Amino acid sequence: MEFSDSGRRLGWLGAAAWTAVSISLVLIFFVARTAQSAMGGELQRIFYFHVPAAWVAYLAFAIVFMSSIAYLRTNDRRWDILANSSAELGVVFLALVLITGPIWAHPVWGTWWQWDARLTSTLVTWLTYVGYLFIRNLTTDRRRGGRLAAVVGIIGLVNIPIVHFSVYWWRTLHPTGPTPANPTANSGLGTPELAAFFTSLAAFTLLFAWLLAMRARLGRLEDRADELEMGVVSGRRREAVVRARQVVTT
Amino acid sequence: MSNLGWLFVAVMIVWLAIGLYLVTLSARQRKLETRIGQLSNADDKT
Repeated sequence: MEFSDSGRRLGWLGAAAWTAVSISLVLIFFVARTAQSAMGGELQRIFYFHVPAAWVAYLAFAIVFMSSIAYLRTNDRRWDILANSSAELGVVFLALVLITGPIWAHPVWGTWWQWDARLTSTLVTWLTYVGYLFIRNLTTDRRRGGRLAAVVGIIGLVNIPIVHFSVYWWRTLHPTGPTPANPTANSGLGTPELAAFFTSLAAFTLLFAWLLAMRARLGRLEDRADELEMGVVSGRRREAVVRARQVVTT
Repeated sequence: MSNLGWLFVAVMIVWLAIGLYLVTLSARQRKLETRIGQLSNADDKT
């Protein structure tokens, strides 16, 4: 198969993402020092996956929000495809947050789960976006399903500040942790740990960008295949074939 | 299980999930490309 410029860019993005992932793994396991046993010792290294996955989920849902507004304003299917792709990835990464968190909490807190503000609001956010993905299938009309989902995608973003600030607004078991504005606050992180953390953050962001580009391409491909089938009915098949081949070769 | 064991489980889950997502994405893409190929070929014959 021949690749166009966008296909090559996707290849480079993937290579950059996996290079960053490899570097981050070396930093996480061989450079970052082991945390105090009260924080889980070796287990605290989960933090280098848990926090970047949460950041990527925030980013994904922010993209859903912006693309949903753009879709409702313009009715351009490309925005809907971007929103749907980003929501799917956000659900995957937030699921990883919800799985890795309890694995750390079990030996450190002595329990897998606490119905505290951070954990509960994260679960509610995850369920909101699972609902977003399901709502599309309530109707066979793709555009109508997209518009319904867009409303959920816009309202759903309300969850994100609640999740993020819950540890400051309410008393919770969840650590507040470092922020980019104040990376060493209450964290006990030194230079090696910060290097591992921010490299992992960059790696997850690149991985997300790569997966999002591939997922959006799949969405365009689905549209073209449908168009091709519809073309048989409407007699506009030739046009649909040309458009489908353009997507396949990118 | 030791903390190191749980760390291993968590890391495996993260990369297996991402790997599984990639495999699913790739399978869906291949299926669609085949479908588009068949529809395009049918068009060429008509």
